[in-house]
Amino acid sequence: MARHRSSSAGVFLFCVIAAAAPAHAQDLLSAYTGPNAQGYLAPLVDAFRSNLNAGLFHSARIEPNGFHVSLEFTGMATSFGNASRTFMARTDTGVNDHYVQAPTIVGDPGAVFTSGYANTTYAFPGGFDVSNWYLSAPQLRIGNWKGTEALARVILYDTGNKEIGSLGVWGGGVRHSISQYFPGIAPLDIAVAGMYQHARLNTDQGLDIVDSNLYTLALHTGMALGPIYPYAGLSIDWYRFGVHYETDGIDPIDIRYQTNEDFQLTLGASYQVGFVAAYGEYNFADQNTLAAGLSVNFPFSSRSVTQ
Amino acid sequence: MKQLCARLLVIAALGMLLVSAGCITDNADLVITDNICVNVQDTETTGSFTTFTVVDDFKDQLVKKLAAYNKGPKDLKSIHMVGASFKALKVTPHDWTVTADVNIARQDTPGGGYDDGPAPFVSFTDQSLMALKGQPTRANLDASGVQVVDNALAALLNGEDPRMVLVVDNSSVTPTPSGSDPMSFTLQACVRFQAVVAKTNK
Repeated sequence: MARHRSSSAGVFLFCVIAAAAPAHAQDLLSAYTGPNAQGYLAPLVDAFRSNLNAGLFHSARIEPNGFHVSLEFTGMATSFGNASRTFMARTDTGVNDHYVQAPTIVGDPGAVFTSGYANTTYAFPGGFDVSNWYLSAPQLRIGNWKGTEALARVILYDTGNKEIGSLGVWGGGVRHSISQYFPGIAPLDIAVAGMYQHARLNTDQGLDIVDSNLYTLALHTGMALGPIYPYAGLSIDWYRFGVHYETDGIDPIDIRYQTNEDFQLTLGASYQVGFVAAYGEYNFADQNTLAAGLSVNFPFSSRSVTQ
Repeated sequence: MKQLCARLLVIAALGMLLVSAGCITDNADLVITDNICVNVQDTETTGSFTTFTVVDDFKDQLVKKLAAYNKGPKDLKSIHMVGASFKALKVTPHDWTVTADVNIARQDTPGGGYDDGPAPFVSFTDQSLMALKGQPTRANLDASGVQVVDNALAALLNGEDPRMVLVVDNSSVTPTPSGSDPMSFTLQACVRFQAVVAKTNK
């Protein structure tokens, strides 16, 4: 099976929602309500969450005081494995319902058919044959005050379609140095972080088609090893993701996800040259994410992770 | 300085990302699930009777349903029945418990012979009509009746205009209707179908 599709998150959401726009809404989702809808969309939701939790830091070192600001560009990529391409979907006829392996939203495009009671046939829609997806986010980091810094990121994507509107992702959080209280653990750096990120796809009529909220708490650690700064993080998150659409002639689509206390492990390294730092990391979660980015720091002489 | 530039180039390469792709809704088989319904209206003064209802807008209903999704029969890869439901819209003057067989047939020419069927479709045993009020009640189907409906749906894709007939053979009603206590009801019978749309590149 050849897989060849990739998509940025913006393009992906645009296309998914384009399919879910007015007259097409139930094309995509009518076969999926309740648990089936969650299984169908799970890879997308997990990838989005994993992406949002990636690239949030590239050092656990936060100086106690002194102004610094850094502008960062982070890219995240998730590769969907075979396990993500199918899920166990349940027929919904009300009589002798049973489970069938069916494509997820990133799975094979062909519909899957199964025999039901009284020789009826039941179909599950195909997926969109997506092997990778990408998200990128500019973010701004500013500090420091008593070993604390703030981080904000924003993604804006105008679909150009009035019925679909624009995708907006924004988030903010703070990190605080723990290692500053324990000089004895130097050169090990430890920080804690809290982050909130909100995403929504909002139509020109003010209707939120997609609305998601991600709350993350994390423990970051790292230490300088010559020119390289390896780092690691463990985060726990609470995620709310909803798809809602209403239009005349079809039943409203309302799908809600709620996951609590999902973990994500981050392993990465950063490397600084002058006032620019590059970093790359791998995130282990329900959908693993590879992230890489660049950070431009000001003052130019500050915040060298390799100091 | 050269060394610094080289390092920056390496860093820039690591900074990669951002792609794009064609619209990924291409070529995914989508599924439309909807209903084609008919109202069965009847008034009876006996407990044993046969009545029938003609569904002569079978094609029109389907075309309208597909049009709501900006689709037409030519967009469909396949279409099939997944279930049926019944809902009582009106039951007077009081509840009735019925035992009945509902058969289905295809009769394209009014007054002509059956083109397919009749075949058993649904059976009701001691079914309270009042209990069918509210949410549609999913019916236990008979495979031979399902085949008649699936054949008709397939015929629609071939451009035909099948005309369906529901024949209700009622064997008993409790209490027994009479001239002074006639049974009157309106029952909505719906065939739930799935149409598989083969997406084309946008």
